[in-house]
Amino acid sequence: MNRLKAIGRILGRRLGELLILLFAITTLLFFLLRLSGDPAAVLAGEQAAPEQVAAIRALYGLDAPLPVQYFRHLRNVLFLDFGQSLHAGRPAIDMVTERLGSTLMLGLFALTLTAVLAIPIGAWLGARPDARSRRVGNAAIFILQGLPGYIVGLLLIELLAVQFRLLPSIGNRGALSWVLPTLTLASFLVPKLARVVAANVTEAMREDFIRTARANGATTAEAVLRHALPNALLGATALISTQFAFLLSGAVITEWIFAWPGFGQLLIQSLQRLDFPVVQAAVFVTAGLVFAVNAGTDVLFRLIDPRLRNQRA
Amino acid sequence: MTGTETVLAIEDLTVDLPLSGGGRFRALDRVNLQVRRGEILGLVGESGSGKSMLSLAVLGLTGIAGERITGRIALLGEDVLGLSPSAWRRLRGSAVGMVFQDPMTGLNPVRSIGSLLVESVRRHQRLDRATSKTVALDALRSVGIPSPEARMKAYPHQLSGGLRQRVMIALALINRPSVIIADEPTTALDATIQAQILDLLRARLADRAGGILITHDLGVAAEVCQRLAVIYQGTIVEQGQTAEVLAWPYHPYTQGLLDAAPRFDRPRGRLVPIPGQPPQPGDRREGCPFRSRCAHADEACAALPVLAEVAPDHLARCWHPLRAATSPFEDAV
Repeated sequence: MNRLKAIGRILGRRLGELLILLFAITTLLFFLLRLSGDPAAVLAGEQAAPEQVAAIRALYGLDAPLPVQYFRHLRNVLFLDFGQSLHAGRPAIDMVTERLGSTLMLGLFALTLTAVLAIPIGAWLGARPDARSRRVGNAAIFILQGLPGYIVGLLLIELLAVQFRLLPSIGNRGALSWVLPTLTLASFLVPKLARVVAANVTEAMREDFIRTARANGATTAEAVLRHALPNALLGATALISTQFAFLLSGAVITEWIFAWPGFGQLLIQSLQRLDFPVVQAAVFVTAGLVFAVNAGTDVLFRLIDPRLRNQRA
Repeated sequence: MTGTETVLAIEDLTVDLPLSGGGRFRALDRVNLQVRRGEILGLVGESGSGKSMLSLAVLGLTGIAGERITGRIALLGEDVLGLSPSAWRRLRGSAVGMVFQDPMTGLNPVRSIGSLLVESVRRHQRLDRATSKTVALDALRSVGIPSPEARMKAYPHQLSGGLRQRVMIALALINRPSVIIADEPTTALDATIQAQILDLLRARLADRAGGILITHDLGVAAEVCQRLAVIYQGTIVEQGQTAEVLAWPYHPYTQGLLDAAPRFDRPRGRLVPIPGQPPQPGDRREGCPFRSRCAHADEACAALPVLAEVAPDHLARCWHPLRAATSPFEDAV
């Protein structure tokens, strides 16, 4: 009960913050995009006659005074209406949400795989701060962390898709298509997380409460898994949440390599085409999601650490 | 109610630790101690004297790479140094329980009190969850924790220092061990709470277990312990009945500790510190470990004195004891 109340309090407070954030993002984007030039002129192209530009301006309501446009925009955003894509002629928000699913799923798969691999690896390494296996593991992590994601992605394509023809490497066609992009993203995240978990477990193993547990007959495995790891997961959770934000907006390179019809690809394409409504919708949705992940992390923190439960968010 | 059964016997326990610059440091030197059921032995010494090392050695938790432990540690007659690591582990918490100094850091902050107790019960006793919970509740009740049902769900940060130390004691006692080692259990607590915790320890130990109370505080030792062992630089320098050791100390170090401690039963005088510093690990050490700080030291002290019986059931390790030894055979002649 205590837990639920605390969580409800956090979420309520966070919702208020979210509304303020979205308003600020919308306002900022609106004026930034206006500053970058006359959208009508961009739309009409370089060779357009002045009449064509004027027609476009009228069509998109760009002839109204700026404050009027701004408030009109705000009202539309309230109903998640970001206008039509200038390129595809469809509602921008639809194009974003269509792509969102596959990016979210890919990120979720990558994070799950990362957690499943990195937490045991980190706990195992962290419990042996002096052993040779720890030094070997640290060296491996160091090397893996130094490899850029696109190199791993290209290596995986070369090996598993080109040489052995086991897995598809382009687009999203069926379950097998998820394998290589997921592996590529995880290869980047696993070393990061494993290192954090290992460092936190090592630190926790030096704590007095581990000695208490051992004095009560805990095995090394019990001391690590039931006493040190729960303390170490706090840092791991913080890292996972920041990485989720990265996966939403920054998995661009991976999506590009695997021609993945995702969110990052859409964002890059829309920027190249100066498709402002789509960019606005994409940034708006990203901000909302990143915020939601952060709020979720706050809740997780309180589930893991009872000391935080009664603090104000 | 002191029984005759020896629950813990330490014989010639020697612990050598490697020094980072090479060489070895003798943390404990041929220590001999016995604890009988229902008895509390006080182990008194200053920081670095090896008293905590002794408790960790009995638990098998020294855990220092390259350490060398020789001698015999018999828990209920069984030599634990000869046991496999897993067999020794099973004795921790069941045959020997440990109360550590700092209850603020000694309890896992993300685990509820109940889960810690239940975990320990289920590890050592084949009980289902519901029964274990009852055992845990009883344990909390037996250490005088009010409303134990509510405390089971509490986390360490929600309890005061005194309550946390009670939880630590409940945790150490929950599987009814025969030996309890309490390492400075009241040092981190307020003076009023100290007395409560000492009373509790004394009451719980008198029941069925024998205990070692490690302390630097002679007042605490005088109040709780039947027998006293004074340790200096890993060596037992004096040992005997508490009242006797404190009233008629034979070793200059014991006298020094008494002079350095405040007393209420005498006119107020100046506290006299022991001159000098304890030797550092790695210092050359031969002969009596205390001689560099001892007013009575002479050439004889270059050789380590034996721990000799200076009075009935009273041992001291000194070439120049502060009073003449009474031979145990004197009366018989």
